[in-house]
Amino acid sequence: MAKSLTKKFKMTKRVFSYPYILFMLLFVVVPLVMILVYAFLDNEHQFTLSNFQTFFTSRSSLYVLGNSLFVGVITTAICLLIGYPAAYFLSKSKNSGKVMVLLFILPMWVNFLIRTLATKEIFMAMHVELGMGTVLFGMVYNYLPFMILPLHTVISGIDKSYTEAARDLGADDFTTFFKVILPMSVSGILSGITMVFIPTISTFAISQLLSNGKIFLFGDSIELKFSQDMYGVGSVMSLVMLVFVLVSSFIMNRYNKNKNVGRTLW
Amino acid sequence: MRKSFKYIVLVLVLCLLLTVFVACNKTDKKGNAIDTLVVYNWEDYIDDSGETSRIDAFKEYYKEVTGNSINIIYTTFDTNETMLAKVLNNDAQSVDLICPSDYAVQKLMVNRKLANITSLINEYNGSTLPNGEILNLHNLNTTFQNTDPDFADAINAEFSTIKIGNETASMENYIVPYMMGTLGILYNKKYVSEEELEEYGWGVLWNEGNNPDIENKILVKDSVRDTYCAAVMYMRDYGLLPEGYENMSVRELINCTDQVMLDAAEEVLTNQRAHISGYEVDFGKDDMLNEIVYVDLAWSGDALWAIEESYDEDEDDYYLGYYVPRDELDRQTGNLWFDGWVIPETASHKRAALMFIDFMNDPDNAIYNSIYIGYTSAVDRNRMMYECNEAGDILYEEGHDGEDGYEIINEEVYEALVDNEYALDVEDNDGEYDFEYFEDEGRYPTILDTTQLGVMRDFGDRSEVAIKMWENAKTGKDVPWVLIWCTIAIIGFALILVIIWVIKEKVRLKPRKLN
Repeated sequence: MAKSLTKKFKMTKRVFSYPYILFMLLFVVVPLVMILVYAFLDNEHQFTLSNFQTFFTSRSSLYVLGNSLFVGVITTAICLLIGYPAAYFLSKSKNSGKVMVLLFILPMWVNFLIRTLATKEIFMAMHVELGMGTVLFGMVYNYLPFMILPLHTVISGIDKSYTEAARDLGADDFTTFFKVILPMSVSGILSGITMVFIPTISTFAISQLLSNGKIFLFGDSIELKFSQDMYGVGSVMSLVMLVFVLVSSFIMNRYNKNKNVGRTLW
Repeated sequence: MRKSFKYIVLVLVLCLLLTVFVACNKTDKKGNAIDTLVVYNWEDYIDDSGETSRIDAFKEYYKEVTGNSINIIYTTFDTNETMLAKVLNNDAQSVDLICPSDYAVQKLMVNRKLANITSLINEYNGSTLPNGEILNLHNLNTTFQNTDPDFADAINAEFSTIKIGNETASMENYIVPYMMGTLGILYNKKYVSEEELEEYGWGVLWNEGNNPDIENKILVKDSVRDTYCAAVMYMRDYGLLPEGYENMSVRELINCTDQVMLDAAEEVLTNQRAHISGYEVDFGKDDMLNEIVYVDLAWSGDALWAIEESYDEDEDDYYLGYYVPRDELDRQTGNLWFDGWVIPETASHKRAALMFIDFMNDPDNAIYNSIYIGYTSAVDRNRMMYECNEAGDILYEEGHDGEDGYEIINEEVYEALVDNEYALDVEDNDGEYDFEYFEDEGRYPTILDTTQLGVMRDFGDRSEVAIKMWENAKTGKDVPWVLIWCTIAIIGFALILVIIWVIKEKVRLKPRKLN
């Protein structure tokens, strides 16, 4: 028996994927299934749909969800506005660009909690009142690298000969940018938007810290549910979150089809 | 190659097993057994460092009494909810001793997770120890033997009949109180006057006095129980209680979770948002000390700690103060909370757990702990003042240097008390000790009437509704129009771009007409 097993066991390429598959199963699939199961269970572990009812009939839950979506959209827009020019000029410049990219990524190596606490301290020292403005600032500050990085990869991946060709055909800077670079970097924009929008609607610590808990977002609400032992409702909310993730990545992928220019992070 | 790999694995597994066996070997070098005790306590909730460490002292005491060494596995939790989730899901089977708060104890009792300490005391007190000695739990003939009597009454007033299934049980048999205190207002003396506190009471948290200094400089606890209590007290003081509830006592009110009450509380808590800086979990004390905010809803233990830290050398005074609002008869009102030792049903070292509780209930150790963490010990202060000869005598004979036949322990207590600025205020020499430390009303609330200063029950199956109320209050009612318009503008802009692009593509794909 043992012999036949060892005989069957061959060191093929596939064997090397087993640890990854196991990891994915344990830490991605199982938790998702657990969330799905918990969403349909009450505190006595009986099947129920009341968690959905609790969530969809509560004013504050929907209110908080809406609020998070607004914050997410605005953060993403600001990130795109700041990030696109930054990425564009970074990929244009030669050596100094690399240093600048490093400078943009550098804060990412510091834990985001520490960064956010430090931001809070700075606002305190400047006597800035904590509120929506500071929360948006914190969000943009935290997620800007996620916008710049994919854009930078895509834009610097565009073959120089395209712009040269455009020049040869008589296009000025403005036209070159709008007719060549921008269309070719759409995939970067889309992946940047996904990378920023999805985490922003689910963040909890940033809003809590930078508004002293006065701005209450979807992530905060989920956290409260789990900490108060309301696993069912918390799971339903996580599912709602998941739906948003799936919907937005679906939309992004749809528009991203046939546009395999350059490399993207997604 | 494959074979050598197998050998390596085999060797590794053997090594692992060996270490496990070594770890299981429960005797020390001299052949005495090593006992274990698993303690699950709040963070920073015991004197556990330096020379005065009570954990080390207990180890010595245990060795002295039983002859066995003891290995204490000390783990901590940060909220009752974390602890409850663990214990209720049976993830804490190996724990011998937990220190939950009032309502968490009730929840554990209802879920039949706790051992009856009274019967454990009866079982183990007077039993024979491994070294042949008789175990004497000096401080633990009953669970409340050592507890401040007023305070014990307050617990019994609310928790003497807890329904567990069809039976009722009294919490008295399941808990030995460890620390206790009140909920009140921590304030900055420079901006909030005592007159203001006396006049507006709980209304200070709503800035009822329209004090421009504290507007938006108020923090409240980010916890439904504490804010609900404050809201109820505020409604009571300002005549905002719903009809039919006006004549209820404070204890009945803070334990009432009827829908009308919750709705009314939601209303006042929503209104409070306009006046406060925010909700805090753990940074309130620091923000008070750094004078970022001037008023904070705080537990007495945290408040006392912060006050002690707020000593200003130039002014020779503390700039923070703590106030528990009073009712019309000048009695402190609100919530009386406590944390206490409980032994889980599944505990496997019950005797050691009992000995640990007994040790921590000793007046000297109680003083060490309460000075170290700054909270009020639940141990009867009369015992701490008089029976505890070390602390008491040292306090009385100011300047005592530990040479007059006292043991070293006295000197340590003395130093601890001197370092703590409350100490050494011996006012009258009528033979009675008079200690500022024990007479601070912030530290030791005067419990004249347990209906005015009551303990708070677990919300039970009403907790989901209460949390919903709390979420509504935290979300607020004001619609963020700026956000909405910005979002609409952004989405509109994006849509327009997409439409233009689509039209352009369509136009481009049309075959050109050839003339």
